[in-house]
Parts: sequence; C-alpha cells; structure tokens
Amino acid sequence: MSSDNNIAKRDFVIELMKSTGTDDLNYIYRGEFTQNLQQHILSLAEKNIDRDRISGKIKKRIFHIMVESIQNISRHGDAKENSEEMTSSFFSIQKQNKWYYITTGNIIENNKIDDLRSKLDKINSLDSEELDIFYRAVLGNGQLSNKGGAGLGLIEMVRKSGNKLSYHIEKVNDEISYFYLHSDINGITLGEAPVQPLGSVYTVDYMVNLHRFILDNSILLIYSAVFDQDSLLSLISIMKSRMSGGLNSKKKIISIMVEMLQNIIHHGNVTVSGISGCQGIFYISLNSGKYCLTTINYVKTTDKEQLSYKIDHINSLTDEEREDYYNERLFDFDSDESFKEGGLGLIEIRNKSKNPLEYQFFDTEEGYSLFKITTYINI
Amino acid sequence: MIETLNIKGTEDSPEVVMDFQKGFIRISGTSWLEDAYGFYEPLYQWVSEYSKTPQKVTEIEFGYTYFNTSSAKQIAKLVTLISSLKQSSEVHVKWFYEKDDSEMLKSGQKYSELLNLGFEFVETEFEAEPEDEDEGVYKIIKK
Repeated sequence: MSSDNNIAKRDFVIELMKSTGTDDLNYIYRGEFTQNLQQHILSLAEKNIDRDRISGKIKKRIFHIMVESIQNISRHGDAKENSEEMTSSFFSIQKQNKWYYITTGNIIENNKIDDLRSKLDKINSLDSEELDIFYRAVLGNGQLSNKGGAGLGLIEMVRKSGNKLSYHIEKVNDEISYFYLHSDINGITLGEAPVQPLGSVYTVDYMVNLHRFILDNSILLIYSAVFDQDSLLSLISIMKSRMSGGLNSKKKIISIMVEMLQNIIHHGNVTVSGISGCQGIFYISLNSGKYCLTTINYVKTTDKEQLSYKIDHINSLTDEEREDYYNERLFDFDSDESFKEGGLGLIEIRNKSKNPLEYQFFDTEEGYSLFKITTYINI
Repeated sequence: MIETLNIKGTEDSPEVVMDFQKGFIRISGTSWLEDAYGFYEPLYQWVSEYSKTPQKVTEIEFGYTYFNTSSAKQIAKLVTLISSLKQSSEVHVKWFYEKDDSEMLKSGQKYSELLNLGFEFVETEFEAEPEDEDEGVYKIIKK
C-alpha cells in the first residue's frame, strides 16, 4: 500500500465533505455485529438507498449484497468473543454517480487464507454462465463448512452485483490477518447513459486506508450523507445498541447526538452546486473512556460571525451563568422565531458534555462555509 | 364539551392523553420532534379550552424518557399554561422519571421550581413495548 495515499495525513473528513456531492453516501460502521446491531446498521443504509432514483430491482440487489456482506463478518470472522480484534471489523457502503461500493473487513486466521484465496480466485475467474453452473454444483454437493456456507455467499455476491469481487488480505501477526472484501454495483439501468466507475476513489485500497484511519482515530462510525429525521433515528438505534455503560452516560450521549444531528437538519439545508439538502457528516469515536462526537455541515458564510459569537459566548459562561442563560431562553415565548426554533441546542450540548465546544470553519465556494463542531464526553 | 385527545406515541413523539371528563392529562415517552411546535400547539389549545371550565381537580402526569431542546421549550410553554390553570382547578402534577435518570429528574425540578408548581417526583421503571424494543417507545409501569 503506498503511503502517499495516507488518509490520516489530511483532514480526511473535510476532504470527504468537499469531494462528495449531495447524493453521495459514505457510511462506515466499526465494532461488534450482534443480530440487533446488524439490523440497525442495515436499516440506516436501506433508508438512504431507498430514496435513490434507481430501479427497485437494483435496490433489491444492493440490499441482498449488504446482507450477505454483513453476514460474512459474523460467519467467517475469526476474532475471539469480546476481544479487541472483534471490534476492528467493519461494514461500509459508499455511493457516487449511481455506483455503489460495499466493503467489509474482518479478522481471519492465517491458516485459512490459502483456501479463501483459491475460492475467491476461482469465483472471479468464471463468467456468469459458468458461475451459475458452479453455484448449482456447490449447492448440490453440500460441502458446508462448520460455519455454514461453502462460498455460496461469495458466489451470490458476484451474481447479484454482476462484477468481480475485490479483496485484500493484510497480515496482523503470525496468527491472524485482516480480510477485506469489496463489491461494486452499478445502479444505472440499461438504456440510461452509462457512467463509468473509472477514477472512483472507492476501491479496496481506499477502504484499507480508511480502515487504518478509523482504527488509528478510534472511530466507531462515520456517516456522510443527507440528513433527515429518519437517518437520525437509525443512527440513534445503532449507538444505543453499540454503547455500553450506565443509563446516565448513555442517555447523555444520545441526547447530545440528537441535538447535534438536529442542528444539521434545522440549519444545514443549503443549495450547493444547484442541489438542495441537509448534507453533512457525523462521526463518533471512543478513546480511553472519552466519547468524541463531531458534525460538519454547510452554513452561509454570512452567518459565520454570528455563530462564532454564540459559541464563544456559551464557552465563556460559568456553569451557573449558563444555567441562567438557558432558563431565560427556555421561557422566552415572545419572539416567535425563538419560540418555534428553540435555539437551546448548543447550550444543552455544552451543559451535558461538561466540556467546551470546539469548532472550526472552512471556506468553500459559492458563499458557503463548512462548519465543524466537536463535543467531548467523559464517561 | 371538549373532546378527549388521544395521540399514540412513536419513536420520536410522545403519547398524549387529555381527558376532559376525568380531568386527566398524561404525556409520556420520547419527544425528539423535528417540529416540536407543530406537535405541541394543539395541546396548548386543549389546555386553554379546558381552563375555561375545568374539573374541580386536575391530575397531570409527565413521563418522559427523552426530550430534545425544541421540545423542552414547548414543554415550558405547556407547564406555564398548567400553572395558570391553578387559579380555577386543584392541580396535581406528577413527574415520572426512569430509575437512575438523574438528568430527567433535574429537568422536572427545574420546571417545578421556575413556576412554583410543586411537582411530585416518582421514580419508576419504564418498560419498552415488546415489538419496539430498542426503539425508544416506553410506557410507564403503573404500580
């Protein structure tokens, strides 16, 4: 892997935000994959794709491949229960220009690599007709491994995507390696002007780098997409199942998440490059008992000053002053705008997190700036 | 006569019961509404209407698991209306909160103190509805 492609060296997320269009998606989840979590993880991706203007048939194929991929992690992942390795597995989906990229990463034991490689190379060498024959043969001879499946899932992924699987195996130590599996799916229906995936950044190499980046930064989840209440609820469900800890700290993090995500929904609706939507990024990391939540969204450059002033003001107040400031605004029903919009979100985030709010602006074109805000929560 | 309000709870909106006959109001569950004003506005209207000819005693129960700041503001408005109801009816307010949820207890205390309402605070178990487990639809378990 070339190191000049090292994502961690740049402000990766800002780059990501600038380079993605409104219809794009970049979603990666790292951690455990219990039955419950699998459902929530898939549900967020499904809700996003469901809105896309592609044929229902292709949507079904994408969902099918997502399910196969996520099951591969739990079926073939060799990490020991409750080990650190267990939380290094990931599921991710990206989309750009109506192409969809689904990637998973999990631990495998080194002694299984040869077998896996030959299985994948065999599947990748077959054309679609040969693949059907092979599929029936494998189905017929019932050589099911003890974890279920003799590569049927892999064959299915190729049959549904119509494209070969990319993979990469990276040694971790003498016993285990990371196994990356990557599918490309073309969302364009026959007859539509084809868009070549050529030049897409979302290759298996990109994902290996992204995986390294999220491990280095202890990131649990990145969601870069258009935000709405539905995606908010899915993200909350994922984090509710993912987090451990007491009721109070869980509730605190969930409440802060709601405020941060609703800030994107309320204030992030902009028209950039002719397309409107609440485009943003949310990511969350957990490092030595400290959760770190970040959102990035567009704001009008002309609103920058006022927003900075507001956050600086909140940060400058003592706990007591902030409490008074909050209560004063809580019972301010006079101004219609303040009443309907609230405007309490940032104060609440500061109150609950018990740490100063960190923020930054990045200028972009067209009179918009990217607004990045980060909250730290000690648990 | 004012009609009884009965709104089912969802993943992000609370369950509401407003019963004129019984002089009973209950709001419970999660309030993560995007448009909190739109949801609470009919509730203000109901309470204003009720205040004109209220029952002798009015029992009010709040049982939130979560609410966002947009809802906090609307709850403030609702509680303000309830405090003026005191002039014409004997008002009892119970504030249920999930066991160990000190933040929710604090929120209730704030409303109670700021409006001098004397809430009764009740620590209780909240039960997720079986099919909605993990989805944040909770019901107060009544003893």
